[in-house]
Amino acid sequence: MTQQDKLISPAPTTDFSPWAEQDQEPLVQFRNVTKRFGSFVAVDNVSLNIYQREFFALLGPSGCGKTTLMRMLAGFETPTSGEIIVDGKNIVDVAPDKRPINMMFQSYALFPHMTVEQNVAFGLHRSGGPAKSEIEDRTNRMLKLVQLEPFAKRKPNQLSGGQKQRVALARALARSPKILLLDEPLAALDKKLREQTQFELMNIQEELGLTFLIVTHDQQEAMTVSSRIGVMRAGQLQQIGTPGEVYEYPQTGFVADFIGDTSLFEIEIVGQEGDFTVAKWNGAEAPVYLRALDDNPVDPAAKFLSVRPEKVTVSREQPTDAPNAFKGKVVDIAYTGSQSVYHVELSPGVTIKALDTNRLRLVASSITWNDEVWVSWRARSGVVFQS
Amino acid sequence: MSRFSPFNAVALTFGFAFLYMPIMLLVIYSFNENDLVTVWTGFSFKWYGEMFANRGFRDAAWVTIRVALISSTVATLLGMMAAVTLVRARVFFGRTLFTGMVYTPLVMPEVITGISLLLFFVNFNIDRGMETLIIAHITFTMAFATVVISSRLIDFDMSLEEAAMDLGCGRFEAFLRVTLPNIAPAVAAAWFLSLALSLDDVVVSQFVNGPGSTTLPIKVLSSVRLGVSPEINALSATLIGLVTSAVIIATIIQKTRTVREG
Repeated sequence: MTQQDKLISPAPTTDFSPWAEQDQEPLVQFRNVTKRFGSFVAVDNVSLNIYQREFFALLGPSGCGKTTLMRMLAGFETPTSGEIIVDGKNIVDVAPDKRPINMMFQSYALFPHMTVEQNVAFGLHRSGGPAKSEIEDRTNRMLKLVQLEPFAKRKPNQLSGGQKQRVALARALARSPKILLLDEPLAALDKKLREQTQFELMNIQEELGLTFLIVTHDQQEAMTVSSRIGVMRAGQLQQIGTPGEVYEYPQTGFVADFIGDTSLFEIEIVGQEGDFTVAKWNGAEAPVYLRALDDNPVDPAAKFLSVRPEKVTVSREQPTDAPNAFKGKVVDIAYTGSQSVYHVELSPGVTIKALDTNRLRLVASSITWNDEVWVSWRARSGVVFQS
Repeated sequence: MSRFSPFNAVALTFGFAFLYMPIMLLVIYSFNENDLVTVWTGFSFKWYGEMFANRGFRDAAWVTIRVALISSTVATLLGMMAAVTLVRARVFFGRTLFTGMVYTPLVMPEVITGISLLLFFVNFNIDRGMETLIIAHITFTMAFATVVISSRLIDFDMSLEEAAMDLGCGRFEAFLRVTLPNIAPAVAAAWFLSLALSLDDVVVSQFVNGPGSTTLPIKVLSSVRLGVSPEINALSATLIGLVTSAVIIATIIQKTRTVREG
């Protein structure tokens, strides 16, 4: 299929990888789904499989179509063309209230005229639905799951942001959907609470054995919670893979740049020297050496090189063991406490970022602005792609 | 934060005096004991008694109340439907035009509304009476109802209705269970405003009423032609009381942001 099939997975291998197994039937299939609003193409011919018990993240900048894709699965938008198959059935023409899918809205969309309890029980009051005692029972279990029992009688406007988020989660889970959709679920929370809630979400997902689809623009959030990530740009899926795959094997410059931090260079592959592929680049006169992680050759048509800052070492002395070692001048230092990122100018207008963890408790690093330094990285640390 | 200066006090006094002195005078004289309107001789409820005993007034009051209740209810329902469509629907052809057209009756001279309705009824051979009165009142109060309800709907988070549908409601059920309880204050305010407008309308009613469907304001106006009597003062004071209550209730309800339920 794509080149990633040939790659060795860099992530710690777990037993859970249904997408890699041949006989697994996906729970959700987007087949060539396109959505146009007037002349604007929000979702452009997307095909995607999501498997049972997956925590799948749709990641991309705002306006990339990720929310539209999710809303089509929820039933609030109808695809212009293509099919959406859930559990073997095309659900494109099924009304939102008839789908085995529930959604947690970005604004939480709690009903202001109802108590927490009534909000959670809202979806259970159906004709032919569960009996009253069963509804109460289920509501209480949901409230317990999100630790909101003491707040059952409160109105949404008497709750904090984090509590509202949990009510929204409990309400969406109460109907035991096959798939839970989360639209930027944590965007309104502060950083500490967000990180804590990410783990809560993962625990709940594992505990209930459900399939979660989350839409987010926060790459860290996507990396933390998900089993796989789909990176979207301008309505198209750029890459699908585990967090490790999209980070270590980005297939495009966009993915490399959007997920994590990187330095991008234009290259032109000129030849082979033993195990290394040699390329001319815009960083220095001296060529850059490349090598794939496995025994496959480096793509000869590659035009761009990405090097992650944490894979680049800065030193005052010329390193002897690295194939790629270049001299430059420190033009910027971003000190964030736990680490420092050095921006090193290699040639006029071309800089590379190098990350150094501040393991020692030194107020001032020995390397400072305008210092002449060496940057170096292994041949296998660079990733190349055509676009 | 501005201080309450002497200037403010004077401005306020004169302003309100200008607005309310005539009305106050009317109310005060409605309790006059004398037969002559402008000569005060003593306090009495005499004219209120006379008013309630007057059969013509009683009939007119009954007509007025029935017309007001029916027309304000229908106008509120129609106004709600118009507001939901104009605020909610995605851009459709002519939406801006329709929105503008809903607001125009607010500034249309009443005489013109009256004449056009009269022409309409005559043209279609509809006998003037209660029915035409009700239709006419619906026509001009609906625009107000639409404006009041739309202003609340604009602030209403659309995703609440989507959430209701997501949780198993059909479109209409979602509106009833989630949207309506949240816009209820605006709907009630629209109803009271329509009621007040219908209660005190003279101009439009004059064109479209028929024999046996004289409303109270019209009765007052025609009585005044024969000379102002203290009885009319009492009647006017009663009308003022009714209309003011409706407007005050409408304002209070609209100010209430949170709905209490269950």
